[in-house]
Amino acid sequence: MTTNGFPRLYSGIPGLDDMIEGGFPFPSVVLVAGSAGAGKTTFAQKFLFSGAEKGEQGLYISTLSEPAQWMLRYASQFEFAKPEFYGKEVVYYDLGTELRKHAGSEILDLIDAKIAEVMPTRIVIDPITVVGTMLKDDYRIFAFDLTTRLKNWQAVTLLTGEVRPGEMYPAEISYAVDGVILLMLSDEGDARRKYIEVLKMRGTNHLTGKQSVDITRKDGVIVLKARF
Amino acid sequence: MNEKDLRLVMVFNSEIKVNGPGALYLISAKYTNLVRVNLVLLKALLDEKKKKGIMITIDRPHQYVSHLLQLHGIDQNGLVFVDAISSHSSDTKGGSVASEFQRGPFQIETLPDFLSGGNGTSIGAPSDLTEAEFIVLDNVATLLTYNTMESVQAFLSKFVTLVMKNKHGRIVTVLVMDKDIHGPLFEYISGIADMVIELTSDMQVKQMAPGSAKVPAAPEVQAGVEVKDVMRA
Repeated sequence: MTTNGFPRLYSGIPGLDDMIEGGFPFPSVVLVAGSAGAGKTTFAQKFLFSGAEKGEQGLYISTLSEPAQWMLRYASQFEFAKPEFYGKEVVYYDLGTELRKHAGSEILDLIDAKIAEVMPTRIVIDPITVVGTMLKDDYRIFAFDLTTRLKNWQAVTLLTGEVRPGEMYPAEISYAVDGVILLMLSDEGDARRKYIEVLKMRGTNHLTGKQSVDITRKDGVIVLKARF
Repeated sequence: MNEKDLRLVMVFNSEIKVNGPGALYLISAKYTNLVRVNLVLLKALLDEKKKKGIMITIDRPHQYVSHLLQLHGIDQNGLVFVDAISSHSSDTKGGSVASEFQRGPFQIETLPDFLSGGNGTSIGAPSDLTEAEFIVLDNVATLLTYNTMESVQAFLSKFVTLVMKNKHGRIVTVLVMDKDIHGPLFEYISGIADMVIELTSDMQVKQMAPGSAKVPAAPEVQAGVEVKDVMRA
């Protein structure tokens, strides 16, 4: 998929590609920001498994020190997360334990080494905001160096970012990325509705404004507007 | 590298002739596979054929290619990088391999002069073409980001002439690109290439649909691999 000679990578999120001229710019680094429960990890996993269906290599980097089986257990609730892809088209890497032991530049080298080994087309770092908590003052430089390197590895990378109360998106990382997608929860009467908004997507004439989303076992995150 | 990659290494090893006269090979692969195809190609040229060569990096600083080669155990002693993009990249990634730098990819028509003996645009010493047995560009379509189609064509014409006329006359040039994204450039290079190999999205060689009048009627088929010979224009 291309737009004016610009390569794009199918997002795997039903309805989203219609909002961003066919897919994420390739290569690029995109921040998927939202509060807890907004669907960030589901979004990121669907992105990886959609690529796996097309034979594209994926790399999931967890910063949480969460044993792989927990991630797999929750992901297995979705029909798209086919077990045969684990360890092959979708490789899991736990960066969490390394974050406690290394400085920012060493963390970059660890990520570089894993990417060079796996050679992924699709990368997820989930969540990137944990790294900010660990690195503190070095985080802004780390974020810049990380995004530069990720783009030079020729992949589309999704960074998921936890949003603090009162914050729209994690500002420390948003300046360095090519795209920002917000996943939002909104209290409306007795209901809590979910929305998606493409805030920034470089090189893309993207749709603006909030669009309703749903999360289903079959497809994960779906942009509801795409149904009409 | 997986099994498909290793099979492709063997295909490149058998199809790309480095011992004969100079030649231009064009490989078309899906844009998401360009890094992987370059890695496979360099493994064939450096590890299997044990050849010396030059890699001109335009799409990313050379440190990334070098890191990839190192991690996959591919010997870089026979490789010199000519880096045309680092000066435009605020990259902190370190590297320790043989490398030279051009000021940028904007005046691409000066690159052949740079390779053949140096000129005002070079920062380091010019590469020694007499030592090189192959040249690989990473990747040729990126030139269109910085140059007009006409100047890229002029560059390629001059480049091929230089490579074919160097005193040994045996340098093989390999260009990798995605024909689906840059169709006109693909057509132009097909017209001056000696051989065109088209890969599927899962890294296998697929049947080439001849699109040029210069293509011989019957493509050569070997062991499930089909390639197209293109007459030199």
